[in-house]
Amino acid sequence: MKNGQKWFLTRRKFIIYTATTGSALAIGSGASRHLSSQIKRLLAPGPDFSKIKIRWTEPNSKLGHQTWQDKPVPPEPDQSNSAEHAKFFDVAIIGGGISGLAAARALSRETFGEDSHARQVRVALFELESELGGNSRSGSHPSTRYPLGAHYLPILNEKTCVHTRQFLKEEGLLVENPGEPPSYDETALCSEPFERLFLFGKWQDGLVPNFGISLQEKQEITRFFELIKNLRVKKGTDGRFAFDLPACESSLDEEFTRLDKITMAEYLSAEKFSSNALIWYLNYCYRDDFGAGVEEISAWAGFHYFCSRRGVAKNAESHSVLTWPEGNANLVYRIRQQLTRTTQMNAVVTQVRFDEFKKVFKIQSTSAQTQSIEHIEAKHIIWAAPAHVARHVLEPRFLKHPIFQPGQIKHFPWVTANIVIKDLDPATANSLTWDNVGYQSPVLGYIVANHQLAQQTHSHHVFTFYRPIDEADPAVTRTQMKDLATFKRQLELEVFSEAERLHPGLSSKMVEAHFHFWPHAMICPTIGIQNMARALGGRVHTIGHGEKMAGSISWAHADFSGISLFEEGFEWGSQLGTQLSKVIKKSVGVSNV
Amino acid sequence: MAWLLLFSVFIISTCGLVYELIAGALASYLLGDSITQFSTVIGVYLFSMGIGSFLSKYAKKNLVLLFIEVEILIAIVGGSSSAILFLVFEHVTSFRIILYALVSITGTLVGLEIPILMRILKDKFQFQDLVSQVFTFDYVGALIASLLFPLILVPHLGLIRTSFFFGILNVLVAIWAIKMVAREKKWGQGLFIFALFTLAYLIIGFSFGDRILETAEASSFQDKVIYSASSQYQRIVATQGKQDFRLFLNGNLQFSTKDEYRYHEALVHPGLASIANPKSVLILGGGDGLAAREVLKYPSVESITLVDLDGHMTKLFKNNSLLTRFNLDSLNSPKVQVINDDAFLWIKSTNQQFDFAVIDFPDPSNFSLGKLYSLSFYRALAKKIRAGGKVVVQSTSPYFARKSYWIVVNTLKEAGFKTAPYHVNVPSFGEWGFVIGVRTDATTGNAQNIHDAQNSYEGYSFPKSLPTGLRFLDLANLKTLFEFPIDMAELNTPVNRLNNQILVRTFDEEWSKVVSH
Repeated sequence: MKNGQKWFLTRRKFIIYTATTGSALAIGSGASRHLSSQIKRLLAPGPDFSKIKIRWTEPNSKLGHQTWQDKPVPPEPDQSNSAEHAKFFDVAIIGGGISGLAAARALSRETFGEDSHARQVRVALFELESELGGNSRSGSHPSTRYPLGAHYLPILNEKTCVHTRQFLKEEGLLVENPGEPPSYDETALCSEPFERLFLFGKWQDGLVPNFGISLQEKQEITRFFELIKNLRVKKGTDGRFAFDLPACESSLDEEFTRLDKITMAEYLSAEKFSSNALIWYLNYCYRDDFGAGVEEISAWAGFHYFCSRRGVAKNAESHSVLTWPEGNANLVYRIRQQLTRTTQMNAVVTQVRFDEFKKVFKIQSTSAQTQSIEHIEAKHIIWAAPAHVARHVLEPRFLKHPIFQPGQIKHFPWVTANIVIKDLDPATANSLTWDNVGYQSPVLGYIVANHQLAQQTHSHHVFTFYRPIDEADPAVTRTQMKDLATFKRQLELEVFSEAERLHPGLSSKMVEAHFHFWPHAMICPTIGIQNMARALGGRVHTIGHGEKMAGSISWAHADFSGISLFEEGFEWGSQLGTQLSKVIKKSVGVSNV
Repeated sequence: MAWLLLFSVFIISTCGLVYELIAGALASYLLGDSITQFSTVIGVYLFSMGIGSFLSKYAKKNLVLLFIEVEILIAIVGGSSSAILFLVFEHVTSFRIILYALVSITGTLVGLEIPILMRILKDKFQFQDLVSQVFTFDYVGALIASLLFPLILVPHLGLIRTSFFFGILNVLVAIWAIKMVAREKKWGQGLFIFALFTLAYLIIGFSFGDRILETAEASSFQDKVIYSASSQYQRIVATQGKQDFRLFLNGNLQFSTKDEYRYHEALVHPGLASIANPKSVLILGGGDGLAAREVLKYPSVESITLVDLDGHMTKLFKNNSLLTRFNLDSLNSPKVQVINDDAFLWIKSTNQQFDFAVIDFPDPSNFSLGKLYSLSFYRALAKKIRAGGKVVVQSTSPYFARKSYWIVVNTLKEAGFKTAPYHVNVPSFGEWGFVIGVRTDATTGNAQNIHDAQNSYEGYSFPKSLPTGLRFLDLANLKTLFEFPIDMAELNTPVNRLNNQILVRTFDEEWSKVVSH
């Protein structure tokens, strides 16, 4: 209840009160404790991380690499048998991340034919991992679930992202208000306090460095944010916003697309931005979203990050985000609930061939559980796996676009570390924000996975640390990582030390750590990628045209946006799924006649 | 030798009286009512001395050994007495049994001492000299003790260290006696070592005596700290002053027995008395059982569910006879079910429905507590209140934290409750605010507070009767609580949401101004 005793305290009394309490504490128990902790610190070689129970998980690379290594010899096509045994689907979706799931969801909504002939689109969804969700997967501890990758969804822009918006409405996460901005589910909106930055030994509110920064640097930061503010509302000659979401909605005006030809670093130096604080902040943001900093990404992506969001909400600030303890795995779960009729295949697709005679795609896959080779047939393919995998699976005639050339796109490796902390002291627990970042660290700080939970106190906290490995070219890093054990030990030490740096003494409370390794996380929007991806994302490669169309391959993965965001994958998947279901409905109608 | 023994009489009697004074003072601190405590403690002490004197006749041989043994025992029991009393206070249901047991043991042992000593000395002095000398030293020691105690010992050493200090004196007398008299005796060696151990124990006790009571903490409270404990969730401190008993959680005053009836009558009755035949009542927070005490004044109430996070708190106010006298043993009523759980999680998961809910959480001084004042929380709460049912929320001071107060009111309104804000003067706190929320069927509440000065607010009508025996509220002054003077009048404020926590920020701003003036 009440703070009543406080009003008795006059200023003078308050000073005496704090002075006596403070000194008594210092002289009394405090002094000896302080002394002994100092002595301990001097004597100890360093914080002890040896008691933390460490677990590593990573993608099923053995199975994944079957697409190009150890490829099982396809059995001799036995016409008589395979015709009978191969299962037939209208659509095969390859990849069970956000774009694949969105496509499956869109396809599962359409029923056609009449009465006894009524049927749904037959969909097979291939995912080599045992868990769906791609970069939005999660892990769990008895106290809370936690993300392994993507962990939030920002407030949506008003006009675009129609499918994502519809999905959020169906899930009750968004409620439209006539004549007003929509309301979002307040248990999903990120609770305050939101974010803080540890710099020069202190925590400050917000992530833009403010404390201990020279006036000149502050002016530069202000100048940059002025620029952002103007660009956010700027439109090109084509009437589109300079930067929009999904990325394909952005203006094609040369004024903006030319930014895709230079790196962000080049742009900054040309425009005389050189403040360390600003560049650290930009690097932090870009590494967080793209896996690499200003030297790698295009200036277009650099501005898209800041200028593409104009969403407003009735009950939240525009910069708010939706988040859950398990991160975007919560959205994955919600999509999955809608997929009751989709055939889910926990298998890796090793080969897709178009059979000119039967006019179907023949799809060969290896089951993750049994390692057995299976064949299915499908009329249409939705490619919802990373772009670089396609060249190992599809026929060259479908891969003429330059994006499929080796080395064209980069996926930086990532590591996420979920550290379980037992009995965190109340003072630290009360100071936590959702996002907690350390200045000038290779680790991107941590989010508190249990932040959204309703309870007052937590016996365990789970901190999710993010670390993109962007010191070298991803291909180089992956070769160096042949010595995986050393690589892992280094990362463990790095993450634990960062935790201990941000919270001295925390190491003694860290009981478990779940490291997840992402060898290929999200696409990095390097120069030229945006213009390149634009020509392919959401496109349908048809075989035959019009009523003679025999089949199609369409490109749904967020790689074909050049930017890996939930909305990108969800919009492509939904759009292509909807489009295809219309085509299929039409063809079923034709065949029924 | 004889004179030294007589000097030991002086020490012994000083120590004896000091133990008696300590017991009396401690009983007054912990139990209040110093006249009763001092009288009973002195009475029991003197009577026990009589028992000791009576028992002394059964001591037949080796009086010196017995004297030394008694001396060491007094050192141990008397020296530890105040530490023991402080430490057991929180754990036992009947503190008095322990108190009087300790007083009797010390008294009996001290009572044994003088007769034995006189018998040891009987050959060294004439009888009339002996009696005169022994009692002179005894009474001089008593005078010294009674002057030292209030003027020097308590202010400088505190009770715990004072008792250890006199324990040390007692054991030094014993050690000296062993040295002088019994060193060559074969029992002397063992006794000497035992005495040294006792000395070491008492010195340790003396050195760490202040730790037992956390002097740092004690010094920040106006009155004597009689109980302090850290539960899993908070620091619980109770103080006993001249006029009242006070409970603090994390340094914040929860109640003073002097005026808590004002707070708790105002918290419960305006809402509950306005409901016809309330049956089920929910109390969130309020682990002290004082709100439950008020609710139990309604015979129609069949069940009270009290949800408090801190099991330590509810156990204390359920079992400790010193505290149950404040809540009239409310937590042990068969109607009351105490649940130790997180209020937010519990309210979301319960299937129960209530006619009335008392929301008595700590002030929103951090982001965790801020959640319990959020729109999401009130919406979850609304689902568990029967249509037409009411809630009342303690909502900080509309005078010291005016904006914070109206944020609570407006958040409750946004959650679909019709609101009736009111306030009361609680001298220990100052002006304090509450708000009644009336559950309506509308999910979004745009209900206006149309003030009908005569009988009601929209959705809320003043009660027609109140329980008998209230000390603060009557039907006439109840209506006046709903009037807000200009300096506390309604403000337009944002709504407190989980994703803005505007209340915690506002509260912090407003109270920090109060503290720094």
